[in-house]
Formats: sequence, structure tokens, C-alpha cells
Amino acid sequence: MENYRFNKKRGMALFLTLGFTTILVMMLGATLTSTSGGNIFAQDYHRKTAALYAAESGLAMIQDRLETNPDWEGTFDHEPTPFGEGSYSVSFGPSVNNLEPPDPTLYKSGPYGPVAPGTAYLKVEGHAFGRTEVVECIVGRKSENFLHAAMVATGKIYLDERVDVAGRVSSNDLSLTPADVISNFQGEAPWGNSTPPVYWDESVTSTDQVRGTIRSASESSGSISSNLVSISDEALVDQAPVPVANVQIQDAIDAKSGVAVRVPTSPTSPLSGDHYEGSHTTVTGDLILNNASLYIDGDLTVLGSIRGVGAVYVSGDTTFSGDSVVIANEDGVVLYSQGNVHLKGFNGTEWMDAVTASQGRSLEWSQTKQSFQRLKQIVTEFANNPQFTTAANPALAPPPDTPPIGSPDPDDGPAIGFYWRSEAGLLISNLAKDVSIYRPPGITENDLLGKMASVIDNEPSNPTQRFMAEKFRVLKDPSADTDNLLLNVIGINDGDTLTGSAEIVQNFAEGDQEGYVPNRGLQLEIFLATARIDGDHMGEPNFDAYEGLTDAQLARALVKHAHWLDLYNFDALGTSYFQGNIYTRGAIYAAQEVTIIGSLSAVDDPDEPDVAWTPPDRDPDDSDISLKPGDIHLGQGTRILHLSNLNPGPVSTVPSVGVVTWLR
Amino acid sequence: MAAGLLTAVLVLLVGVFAGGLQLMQRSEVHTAATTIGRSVLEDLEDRGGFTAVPHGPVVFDGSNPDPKSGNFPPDPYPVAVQDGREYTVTVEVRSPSSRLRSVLVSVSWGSGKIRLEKVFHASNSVL
Repeated sequence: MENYRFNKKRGMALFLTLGFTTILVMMLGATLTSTSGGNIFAQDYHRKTAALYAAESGLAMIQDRLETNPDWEGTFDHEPTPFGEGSYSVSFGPSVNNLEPPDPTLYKSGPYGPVAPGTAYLKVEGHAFGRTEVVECIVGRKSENFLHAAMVATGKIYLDERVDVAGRVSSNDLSLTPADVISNFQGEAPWGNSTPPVYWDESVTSTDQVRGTIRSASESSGSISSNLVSISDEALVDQAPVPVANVQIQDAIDAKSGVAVRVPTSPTSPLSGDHYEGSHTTVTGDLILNNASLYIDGDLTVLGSIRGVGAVYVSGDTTFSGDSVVIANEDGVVLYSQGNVHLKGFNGTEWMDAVTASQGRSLEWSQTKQSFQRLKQIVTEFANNPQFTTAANPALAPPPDTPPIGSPDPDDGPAIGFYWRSEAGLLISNLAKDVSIYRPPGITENDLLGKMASVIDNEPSNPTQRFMAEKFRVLKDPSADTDNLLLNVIGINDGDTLTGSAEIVQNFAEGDQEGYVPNRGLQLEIFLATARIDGDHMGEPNFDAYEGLTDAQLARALVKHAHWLDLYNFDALGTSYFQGNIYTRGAIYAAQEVTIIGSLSAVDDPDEPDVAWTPPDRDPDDSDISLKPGDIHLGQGTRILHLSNLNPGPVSTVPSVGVVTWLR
Repeated sequence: MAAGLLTAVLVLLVGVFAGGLQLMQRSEVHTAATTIGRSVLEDLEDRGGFTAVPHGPVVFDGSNPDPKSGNFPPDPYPVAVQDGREYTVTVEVRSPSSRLRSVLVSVSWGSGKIRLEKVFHASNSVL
């Protein structure tokens, strides 16, 4: 009996042990599962992250490919990433490229619906450590381009003397737009010394400005000289290089080699259509384009200016001068030069300072500049707030208690006395009339333009003298029958009467005059503006001759004049002009008071050798530096006014391709 | 026999627990290192991506440690400490093209190391 009980207890122990062991084994299993699962999770977290980055890296590589070739529809199958930590795959089948459809309205079908023109649907697989992750997105053209850039250089930028870079919408809309200055230069020792790649060789004055952002791709914080930083809206270093178009200039020229019409060496009239020249070409006189395209397989030297509307393709270097003409509309020339571009001006300001001093007319010269400066300020204020009210434009209305000046002709209407008492009226009158009663406050000399005309006439003929004489002459209405060189300059007349017609104002407001203002144009605009402020209206009974002229037309003419007076700067009277956009695969050198109304692009060709260039007849005042392809050097008061609405438009770029929408 | 069986199972259990704990610790370290590497790349993305990365080739070795260039590489370069463990961060940059910058982040500890690579494109940068 005792043994039986004892045996039963021993069996119980085994049973308990087996049971306990079973529980322990289950715990063991759970522990093993948990720890190995945790480890697998940790490993997978890394693999998944690495694969996702590989997919995003692949997307970046494909974006780069599409920027240089927007039509690309190639295949990558496990293409390694730059460090080889992963790989990526893409093919156009699942992916859809519609960045540049032949028909700009064409949609392509994609897995999530139509793919809009100008975009692409991309599906990129990333692979790392045996794991695959997928990203899907829509990429498209981004706004990052240099439509608002006054100058873009893949190389360096060197500015000498005064700096004035600004942008506006058009000659009819003086609203400011950004005028960026961009250097993609990333190398070392930019100018062969410690000079930074974006450099200004001058101290700051109140008139120096860069009304935009200066962007440097160089990572150095000192890559933009500090004086430039101080006059710019913003200065940024270590910026992404801006993509610029690789225009195949030689290909464009070769494609036109069959054109039989040649480029005239002494053009007598504006050129139209296609012209081809198979060798170095020298043109004596101005090259005026009227919707023309010129193709020159060699160097082009123009002993004059290039202006109008059209395109010029040059396979070699291009040399030309600025124009004495300011164009009042948005027409422009696009110059594509495979070689260097040398844009020359004239030392007109220095020359005027010297000759007025030698003829004892320094005071008159100073007061002429002062008068135009004040006139420009008044018209610009109107352009910024084009309202015919005393409150908005007090400079166009005399103080109420100002006595009448002279004996106004009652036939000119009741507002005539109002005009003669306004500061603007007096300034205009005193510039042209040899009567002391019209002197505005602060001006002691009269007939200022007449005296300046005699100064220029008295000088012996030389290129600068002829340029200055031409500059004044072209600003006159050709119908003005007078020997006075400066009479009717920008529409200022010495006549006592202000009569005219509505067409004088309307034609200037609506037309595309090149280089001159109609006879008495500015006078009439100022007179009518003061009349409107005085409460008069156009037409019967006050202004019969101006029936049909609207406030909008009058305002538009004045705004246009503001644009013109701004460009026709008496502080830099020697200024010559180039209106258009310059694109070169070489370097750009502009000097001697050239105003560029448009933009500059110097784009190095990586397939061509970096040959240093020193402009053969560079101004001796400019710093002695040599330029390389992609560099820009602006010297001696070169100014850039970037017009957003310039026709045929800024130099095209390869717009960047960025992610528009993430799908996965 | 029961005692022997019990002893054997207990010994096995202790061994498995010890190994499991070691494995768990390794998982935590691996996860922490991946998180550190990822934080470097995400920080660069937040600060503009391409524009936050210098031109390559360049190496910032956290074991030296090489001095930073401005804010690059971002923290926790050169060394991160988590749960009392030190992780050394090394960052390498290459520029496959003028519009691309590839960043390789290596995070190492003891005898272990993880590496993460990401390419930044200029168009995706905040200008």
C-alpha cells in the first residue's frame, strides 16, 4: 500500500516536469520568434530605407537626363547609384514622357489618367540589399530659368566702374521686374588671383544698383564681392547652377548654307528674310533687321550697330557698336555667337565734359543735365501713378498762387497759363527758349539745348563727335525743318505756341517710333497733362485740336516718355544702345557706356577648348584681365535694362525638370 | 530523469534568453544607426537638398573628426550618442554632374556599420 502511494508520487513528478518543460519550451519558442523578428525588422528597416533612397536617387539621375534631352525615353535596369549603395530601374512603358510633345496641346495616357503636355509621369524602382521600393511622380518644367535674369554666365562676371542693372516689364509698363545676375562658376582661382568670380572693381555710389538677386554657384561665401552684395536686392552663394540652353549655332548656320541671299557689306535698307555668308564678314554701317535671320560662317564685324527685329547667327567672333538710337517699343535682336562678343560704345560723356569745359560752357552743360534729370523725375513720378490730379502729380501743377508767366496766347486755351507756371512746363521751355523769364527755380541759364548744339557743332569731326551729333539728330522728328541740332530733341521745341493735333500724342502712344519723338511731342503731352489736372477736358470748347484724344492715350504717351527719358540719360550722354539678347559660347566684353536693353548669356561649350581672350582694342582703363568662354566683362558705365516683354524674347533656356506631384 | 530533463531545458532556456537579448540589442543598434543616417539625409533635404550640399568629391570623416564646412555635414555629425552608445558619422559627397550631388552617410559603431546614399537634384532644391 505504502509502495503504491510512493510510486504514484514519482509519476506525478515526471508529469509535472514534462508539463513544466512544455511551458518552458513554449517560452523558448516565443523568445526566439520575438528576438529574431526584431532583428529581421531592424534589418528590413535599413534595407527599405536604402532602397527608397535608391529610387529617389534614380529619379534625380533621370531628371538630369531629361534636362539635357527632354525627349529621352531610355531604359535603366539596375543602374548603380554613384556610390554603388543601390541601383535603380526605369523604363518608358510604365513611365510616360510628354515633356515636349510635337503638338503642345497633346495629352498622353498614363496609369493615373492623362499626362499633360510639358510633364512626364515617372515610375522608378530602387533596389538595395535585395529589397525593392518604388517612387512615382509627375515631373515638369519648373519656373527656374533666367527669363528674369539680366545676365547669365557659366563662367565669371567682372564689372568695371558704374553698375546699373534693373528690370521692367516694357516701355509701356515701368513696373519693376527682377533683373538677376547669375554666375555658374564653381572652379578655383577664378581670375588667376584672389579676385572673386563675381566681382565689381569700384566703390559704391548712390546710383549704383542691381535690382535683382546675384546668384553664384561657387560655394565660397566671398564669391560675390562685398560692394556688389551691398547694392543688390539679394546675394546668394553656393546656388544650384542655372540650366542654360546649349544652342547649336554651327548646326543652325550649316542648315542654311543653301540660302543664296548674301549679307550685304554696305546695307542701304533694312534686311528681311534669310541671309547667308560663308566667310568672315565686315559690314560698314548699321545692320538693321526687319524680321531677318542672318547666318555667318565666320567672324562678323559691324562698323556700326545691329538693331531691329531678327536673329543673327555667327560661327566666329562678333564685334559691333552700340546704337545712337533708343527704340521706343519692345523689338529686339537675338545674337547667337559661337565665338566671343565685343560690344563697343563711345566715350561720349567724357567727351562732352571736356568740350564744354574747353568752350566755357560747363555751367550750361551742368544745368542741361540737371534740367533733364528733373524732367525725367517728374515724368517718372507720373508713370508710377498715372492720375491727372494735383495730389497724385503735384510737379505737373503749379502752386495756386503762382502768378502767370509771360503773355499766354488766349487761342491756346485757358489752361496755357497753368502750363507755363508748372515746373515741368518751365523746364521744357527753358531748355529750348532763349528767354530768361522761363527759367525754372535753381536754373540760371536759358536756351540750354541751343548752347549745347553749338558746342557740338564747333568741334572737329571725329567718331565721337559724329556719334553725339547723330545721337541728338535721331531723337528729332525728321520733319522738323531746322538747322538747330538740338531743336526738337525728344519733342522739345522753342516755339511759343503749343498747338498741335491729337495724332501727335496718339501716334507716339500707339506706334513703334524708332529713335525720335514727333515734333513738340513731349511739350504737348506735358501741356495736356497740366490742363487735365487744371480741370479741362479734351475737345470743345477748350481743345478743338485734341478731340478724340483719351486720358488713357495721353497717360500711355507720358509713360513711354518716362521710359525714354530714363534711357536717354544726360548723366551718361555718350550712352549707346543695343536692344536684344546676346547668347555666346565664348565671352562677352562690353564697354564705353553701352546700355543693353535685354539680356546677356555667356555659355561655355564643354566640348571646346578654354581659350583665353583679350579683346583686341579693349579700353585701356579696364582692368587687364583675360576672359575665358562663359565669362562676362562689363566696363565703363555699361548698363543693363532687362525688359520682360522684349520681342522676340529672352534667350531660351533648357528649363529645369522638377517634381510637380508625388504619387507614391 | 526528470531532474536531468529539467536541468537541460533550463540550461537551454538561459542560453536562448542570453542570445535573444544580444540579438535584440543588435537590432536596436542597427535601427538607431539607420535612424541617425536617415536624419542626416532628411536634414539636408529640409535645408534645400542640392543647395545644402557642397561640391564633391569631398569626405567628412567623423572619426578624425574633420571640421564642418559651414553647416555641412549637419548634426549629429561627427558623433551621435544614443542609449550610452557612440555612433560615428562619416559623410562623402560626389557630383555626378553640375546639377547632381550624391551623399553617402556611413554610421559605424563597434564592429558594425550601415551606409545610406541619396542623390539630390538641383531642380528639387529650394532656391
